[in-house]
Amino acid sequence: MLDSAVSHKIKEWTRIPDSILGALAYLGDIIFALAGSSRRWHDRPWLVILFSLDVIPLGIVSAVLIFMQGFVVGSYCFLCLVTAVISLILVVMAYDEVWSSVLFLYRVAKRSKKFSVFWDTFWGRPSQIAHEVGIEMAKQRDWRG
Amino acid sequence: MWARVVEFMLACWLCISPFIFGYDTDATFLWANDFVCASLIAFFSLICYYKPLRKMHLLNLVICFWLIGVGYALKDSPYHAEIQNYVTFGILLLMIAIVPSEAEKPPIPWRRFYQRNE
Repeated sequence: MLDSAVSHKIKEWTRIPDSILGALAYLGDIIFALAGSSRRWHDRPWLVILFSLDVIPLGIVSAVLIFMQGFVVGSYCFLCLVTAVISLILVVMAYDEVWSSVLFLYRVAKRSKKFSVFWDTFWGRPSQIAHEVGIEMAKQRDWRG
Repeated sequence: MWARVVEFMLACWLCISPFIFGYDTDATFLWANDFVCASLIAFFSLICYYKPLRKMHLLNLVICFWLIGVGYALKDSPYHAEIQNYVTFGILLLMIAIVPSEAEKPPIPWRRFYQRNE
């Protein structure tokens, strides 16, 4: 796989081997997972969305690669299976935060009906509407909890 | 502030890269590029500890793009390891440099908002 024509093409485009790209993607998961507090879905939605753009495609690509191993290549590699399982676990663990953030932004946009309020909220700038929506969502979570 | 510490550690890596990769003594540009970029990264990360300049780490993004650009500009040179180091380092620093300085706390505008509403 690392010596395939596709791999060489990727190296030509990116100047680095695709294995390093994979390692950087996982490292990105760690960096964006560590950045911020447990309230970042509300305080810094941009960070959560960025995290989701890294972690969710990584999980999907891992799953697709496993399917291709089974149906195209015809054999599995143990380490690939392990990384795919880890990626999918990461997606499951990241899902609730990403969903909270998306729901929060949607509700702020719906209530304010102003793009500027949505935009400010996305970049972590406060507004009364964002504050109220945040409190409502936190209470809802307590009630469900 | 952990992201700033990691940035400083990355600056140290860039500083010792010429010795690790064994740059040619006549590759003056690469030597100078590594030391200047490492110094700037270290400076921009440490200056963030002074609160009014806490967003200076974003200037490291310019260095990220510069290093990635140098990696692409030197594509026909014999310095393959150095190019890979620049591009890998650039992408890694790109991810670290966008992490806010006080990421574990709410952003300052939110903190002020909470103070006003208390």
